[in-house]
Amino acid sequence: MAKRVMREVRGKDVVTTPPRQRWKLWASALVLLHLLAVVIGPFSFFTRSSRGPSPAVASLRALMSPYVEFAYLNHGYFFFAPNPGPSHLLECRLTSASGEQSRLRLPDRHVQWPRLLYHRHFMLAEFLQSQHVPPVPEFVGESPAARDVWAAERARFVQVRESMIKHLKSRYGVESAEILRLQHRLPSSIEVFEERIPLADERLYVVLPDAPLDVVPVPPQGPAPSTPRIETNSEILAPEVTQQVMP
Amino acid sequence: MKLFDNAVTRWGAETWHLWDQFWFTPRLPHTLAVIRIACGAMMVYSHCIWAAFVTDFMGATAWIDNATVRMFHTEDFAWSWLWYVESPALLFLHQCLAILLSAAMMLGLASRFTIPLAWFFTLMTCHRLTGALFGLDQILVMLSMYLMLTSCGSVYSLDGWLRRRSQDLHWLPSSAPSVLTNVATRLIQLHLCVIYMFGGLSKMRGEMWWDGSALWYSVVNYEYQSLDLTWLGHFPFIIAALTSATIFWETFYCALVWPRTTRPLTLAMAVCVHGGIAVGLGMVTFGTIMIVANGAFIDPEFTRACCQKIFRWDPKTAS
Repeated sequence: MAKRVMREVRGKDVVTTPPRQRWKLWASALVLLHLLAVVIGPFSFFTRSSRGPSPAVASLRALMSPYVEFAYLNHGYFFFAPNPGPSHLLECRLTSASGEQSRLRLPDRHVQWPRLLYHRHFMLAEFLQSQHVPPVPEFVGESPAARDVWAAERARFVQVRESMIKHLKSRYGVESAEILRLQHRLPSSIEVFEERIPLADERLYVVLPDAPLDVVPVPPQGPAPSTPRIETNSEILAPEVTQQVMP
Repeated sequence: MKLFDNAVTRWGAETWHLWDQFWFTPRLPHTLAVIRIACGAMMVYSHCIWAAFVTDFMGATAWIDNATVRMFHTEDFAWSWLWYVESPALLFLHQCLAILLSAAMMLGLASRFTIPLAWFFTLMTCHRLTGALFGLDQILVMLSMYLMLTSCGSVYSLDGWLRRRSQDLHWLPSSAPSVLTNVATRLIQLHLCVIYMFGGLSKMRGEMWWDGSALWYSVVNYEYQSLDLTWLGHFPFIIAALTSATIFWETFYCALVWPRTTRPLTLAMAVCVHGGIAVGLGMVTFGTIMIVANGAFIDPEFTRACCQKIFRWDPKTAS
């Protein structure tokens, strides 16, 4: 292969001289280190369990972390895994200074266009859901260490939610905003074909309570999500948004 | 004992020879040049979206504001200068610069400088946009990181055109086969193998991928859906067969893509899977960039032959 390539270019362009042996050894070491960083990212996700991370992998991951994290190699590659799960959306309830109320749902394919913009909003909704930690730490028992972990994780979730609320207030010029997390359950083939439930049927959506896991989720109140769009009883939303959703 | 020593020495020499051949055989840049064009175009598009809605995603009142994103990275080594920028004008300017650099990468203009800069600007953007990212961003950063090592800007590019017009421009990349181009190609190939292997292994933890229902539950996800494929549910056998084919292909991609006999089939399956994701699951950008990344397995000679008529300014084809 190498000889063939060299022959074809001879006389037409400069043929690169292969690196010397010492440089090959250095290059090999760098390549191996980089490949270790590529593998250790997803591998460290796999080796976590309820008992904590694998000590061997965690040590190696810690050693490589400056490179792995700065070079953005710290991914698990869990695409639709371990199972395709339900979607999570945000239902935002906005109240203007005059008391008028409006609703906004994210993601909303009728509002966020092009598709890449829609997908960015979808990821934000999933991100808030992934950060959720219940407000009551009953599952951590009496352990002070576990309570500290819970407190830190809960504070992180609250900060993300508050950041989103601040964005809504600034973006739409409203007095207050509330964010609810919605879960869109995936229907079985029996539900779709025999019970004829549309994919966006409101029965498939539930509001996830900001409460311990044993609290039963409730269906969202208001219009059916089968026509996902900003619902407003006034013109309080930004003009460019209302134009997109109200033909 | 001597027999054992000889066997070990021979094994070591053969291994080093294979290693040397695998990594240090000079390679033509034509395949990576096509990847450069596609990756640059996708980066232009991605940065255009950020630029058009810059205050929604960056700055003091973004969905995830500067303080919150800094909180997420207090204990890791990710860093972005965008964590400290609040001015919408500056953020917009930043994105305009990122668009220009990505466009220069796509066109192959001053590629020795613009590809590393486009990678770095995209990296800075990704570290700022925690929470809004997905597979597309991972692959764009990965491809541009490897492309900047190579002379992929030497063909199908403005650099190639300029170099052909003036022999004095020595700082422009040469289109000769190079070891760095080969190293970058191998790194893209191996990185893809790692992505698919862990993607497959993570699916193997889920029962839906084993009982054949995963594809059904993917196509009925309304938020992902861009093409209604629920009619597939009338054919449970096809759903289950496609589910099984997907998980086996993904898990064993890292083995099947190397032999010449199975490589075309493995790549064809990649086009089908990612094409399906692009068309059916609404992720056109992610599906497309994954197909582009799989192109790293295509022989540059073959790419050159295919592109002969498209890129007439290529010095190899024009001469």
